[in-house]
Amino acid sequence: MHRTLERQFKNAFGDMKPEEVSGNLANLLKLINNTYVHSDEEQVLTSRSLELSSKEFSDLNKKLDSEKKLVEQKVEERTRELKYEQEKLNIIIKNMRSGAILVNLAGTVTFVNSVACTELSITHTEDSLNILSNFFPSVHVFEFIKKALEGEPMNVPEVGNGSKIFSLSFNPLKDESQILGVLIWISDITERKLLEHDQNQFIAIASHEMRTPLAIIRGNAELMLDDEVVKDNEYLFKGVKSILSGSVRLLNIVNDFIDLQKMESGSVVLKPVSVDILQVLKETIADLMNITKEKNLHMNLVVLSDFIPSVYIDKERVRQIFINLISNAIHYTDQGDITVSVENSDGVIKILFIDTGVGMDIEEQKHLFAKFSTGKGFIKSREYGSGMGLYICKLLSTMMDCEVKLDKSNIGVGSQFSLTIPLDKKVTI
Amino acid sequence: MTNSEHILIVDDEPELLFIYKKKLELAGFIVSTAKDGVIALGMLKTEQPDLVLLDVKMPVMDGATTLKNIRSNPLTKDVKVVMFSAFKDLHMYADPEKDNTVLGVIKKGEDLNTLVEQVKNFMSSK
Repeated sequence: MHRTLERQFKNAFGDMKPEEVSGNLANLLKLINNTYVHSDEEQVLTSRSLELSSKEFSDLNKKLDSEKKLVEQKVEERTRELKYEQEKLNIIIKNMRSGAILVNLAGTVTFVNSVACTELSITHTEDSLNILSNFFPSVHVFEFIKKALEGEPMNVPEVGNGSKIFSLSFNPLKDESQILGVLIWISDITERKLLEHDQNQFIAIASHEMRTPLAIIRGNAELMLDDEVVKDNEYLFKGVKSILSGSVRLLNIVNDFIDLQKMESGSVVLKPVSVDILQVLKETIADLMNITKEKNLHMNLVVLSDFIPSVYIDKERVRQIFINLISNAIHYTDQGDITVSVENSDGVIKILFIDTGVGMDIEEQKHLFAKFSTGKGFIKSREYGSGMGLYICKLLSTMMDCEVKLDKSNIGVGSQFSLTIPLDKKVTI
Repeated sequence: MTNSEHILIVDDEPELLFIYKKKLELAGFIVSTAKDGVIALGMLKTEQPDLVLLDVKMPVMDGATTLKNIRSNPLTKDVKVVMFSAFKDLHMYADPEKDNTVLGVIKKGEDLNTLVEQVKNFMSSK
């Protein structure tokens, strides 16, 4: 009998033994006993279950604890990394040679680095843009910020302030989809500009100094080629001829350098006069006929319009472009034709220079009009002249509101260049 | 070809002077030379060249001043003068279109045959 029922039985029936009970009471006792036993079993089960839950809970807690530690460790690591990155950025910003001003979408300055503060004497961040605007009165600072905020980067390659020269750039700051602000870079380029100036001066002086000795070498070679003694001696003749061609080549390079220096320093004064373009083309072709014949090439001049009007332009500079483009065509063509066509249409005079020469690949075409082109084009152009002829053509045509460009070129097929002269330069009589 | 026409070349580079003289002599001209404007003016007192080829940039007396002196002297005022220069922007120094006393300009640095051709052309012009 269950111990609780035993105690209760004793309380109710005194010394009577449970075995002595019979009939319905005995059945009742049996049922109660079963209930107690069953309840005990349930209790044991519940207790076991609780015991188990508590263990799981404790395990889970331990796990959570270790996870927490891991997370904390990770956070600590990331914080350290971020701090390092921030330090790195601070060091970069601090040691940057350029000044930087950061403007947000509302046009408010949110950051100014120490270089900008020093260069522009900025003491309060919020005054930065006004100070910048006053420092460079010729630069439309607020307009440029507006444009940059619209996504258009603005650059001022060179702007002076007293004895210093700066370059400014207003760059839109973008994430993948939107503009976040504008970063203004202020770079002191005084030293670089002075160095460039010195280099240009050096080249100009050296070139000038070389011109007379080269003219003397060339002149003497020309005189010697007229001499019967030289003419009759093949060895001498070839030698003197090569001295002549070498000195002419060098003179052309020197002249290109001098010309370029003048153009870049802005000291070239254009002298526009009424010019019969067709006549100048004819003269240029006639001047270059000797080298055309030497290479057994055919030179064609095709006039595609009934009337080519005179234009108001610098005759010698236009001639210089013609000489460059036609000489190039001759030089880079080993057999076939050079065709120069001239047409008056759509408000322009368009002159095409077409050769059946070596042509150029895409890479070479990219650098064609650069001052000192790199790669294959550079090596190739170095073989002939200074390699600055097309750059000079570009500068000159820009100065005269004309356009020179490469229309097309294919390796082994040839090239086509064009010069477009607007007819607003037309001479009205 | 023989030619009795007389040219005075004024240039401060003696070696270039020699080359121009020799080439023009080979072309049949009679050539005298002066290494600056002062010497040229002195020579013009005794010589009457048909053409003066006058360098623009020279020490002692430059081309423009020499030209002024030539024109101011009744004896030499009508002599044909052609300016001779290495400069592309020649009009900065002497502009035949503005100075009608100058017959024209010969650009230095061309080949000698071109020089002879140009001199002949100027000689035959009025």
